[in-house]
Amino acid sequence: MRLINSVILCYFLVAVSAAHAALRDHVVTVQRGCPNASTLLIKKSAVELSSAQSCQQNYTEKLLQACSDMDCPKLVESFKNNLQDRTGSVVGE
Amino acid sequence: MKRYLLLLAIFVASAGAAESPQSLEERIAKLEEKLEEFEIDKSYDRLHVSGTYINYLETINATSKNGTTGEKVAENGEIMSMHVALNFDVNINKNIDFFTTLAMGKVWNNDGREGEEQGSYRSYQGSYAYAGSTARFDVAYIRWRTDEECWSFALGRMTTRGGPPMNQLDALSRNGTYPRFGYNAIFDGLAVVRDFKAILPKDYSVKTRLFYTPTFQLDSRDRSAPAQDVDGNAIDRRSNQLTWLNEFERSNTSFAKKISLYSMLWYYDKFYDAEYQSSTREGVEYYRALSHSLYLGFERIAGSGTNFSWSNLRVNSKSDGGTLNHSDAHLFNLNYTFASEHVVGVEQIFTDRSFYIDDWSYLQFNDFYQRPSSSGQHVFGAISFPHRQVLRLGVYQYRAKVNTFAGYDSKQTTQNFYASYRIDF
Repeated sequence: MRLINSVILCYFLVAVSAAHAALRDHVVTVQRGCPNASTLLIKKSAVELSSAQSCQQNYTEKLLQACSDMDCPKLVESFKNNLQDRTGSVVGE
Repeated sequence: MKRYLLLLAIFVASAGAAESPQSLEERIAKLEEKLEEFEIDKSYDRLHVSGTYINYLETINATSKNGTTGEKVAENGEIMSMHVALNFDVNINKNIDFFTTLAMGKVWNNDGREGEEQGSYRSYQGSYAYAGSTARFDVAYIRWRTDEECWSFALGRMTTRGGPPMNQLDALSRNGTYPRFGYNAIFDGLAVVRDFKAILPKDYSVKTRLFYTPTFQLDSRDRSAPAQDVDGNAIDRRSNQLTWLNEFERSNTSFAKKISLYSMLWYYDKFYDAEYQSSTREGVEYYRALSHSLYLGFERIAGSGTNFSWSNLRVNSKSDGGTLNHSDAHLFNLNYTFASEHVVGVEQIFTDRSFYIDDWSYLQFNDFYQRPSSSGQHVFGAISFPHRQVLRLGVYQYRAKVNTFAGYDSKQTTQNFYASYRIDF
């Protein structure tokens, strides 16, 4: 059982370290404004925002309902910053 | 009987106990195998592909009147063009990233344009020269970043063009480094960036970016020989350019969601321009300039979608044997971004008699951002569609006076309408 736990732990360590830094930043930013939202919900919302930067989507609406200090423009802005980091469009960021 | 039943129970239990560790090991082995596959997949998944595709239509509608003869000339027509940019970004490790953009800009069904003749200007233009269907690298640079992300170093062909506030026209995040109304060109060179976030309170941001982007001149055939001017004089191989961009940002104020103040100072010397050589002066004539661009931006004013920015450009330039020229210009941008990401806005420009901007990489077919002695407006509206599609409609219009100093012997009125379809993926 201990071995299984180790394997599972190892899996998540690899998964987290391999996740793109920018998406991690997005998750951290959103968690600050939505302390009750699960990481999975934030990532599901990020997937939705990647196709349309609108908050009228299933998981994004659920995420915003769980947020005390995060509104739609803030969420979209955080996501845009995430995209920006991926293309190096500002030198040094 | 009870004894037999007890023995049977012990046998079944021991058999189960013997089988249990074996299946557990098998499951662990399977999990390890899956984990290895996952690790291998991840190790190859370092390449991120994205891109932008734009189709652009502009109507040309300009009237000029010669300041001496009074002769009127009207110019009308339409131009359609496209621009494709494919980004291939490689995350080498957590500290090193390599960014590239392979791009093509062309006028529809025309592969005959070459863009600027001078090599340095062709480099600054990149794919924005509309030089046909051959792709060019507009970006190719490597970035090293420290663990704390306080220091960054960049080397190569960098994302210096198309800076703020141009991103706001399509409701995008900032996608260029130098302010648009400062320097709009693609530069090769070195950069060092210091982010002071570690020592600043939350909601404050201070960054300083230093660029060294020298321009080199070489003979077009013999790489070991210097380039020559029309009189056969050797041109200096290197023209130095240093740019210092300081950025201050304050977020979440009661007045605006974000306040940005950027100050960019740059200097270049020994710059050779083939078109501006004195016919009477002996030897090569070089240019030097000390310029400053200020960008002050307010985003989401009073919690609404209102954005406002003011850009100011001051250029002090001098050629060998020439007089010192001062130029001053202003660009104001006021726009409203709706929750649906639709945008309406207006830009107002004022330029003086000796106005000059190094503006090389742009899509439009008019000189709205470049014309000296002018005042004009750019009115625009952008509609956002799902999957990051934006349709922008607008008009560039300006009035420019006769300006013999800058080589314009006619006053001009321009009113160019345009439509731009853009998708980011």
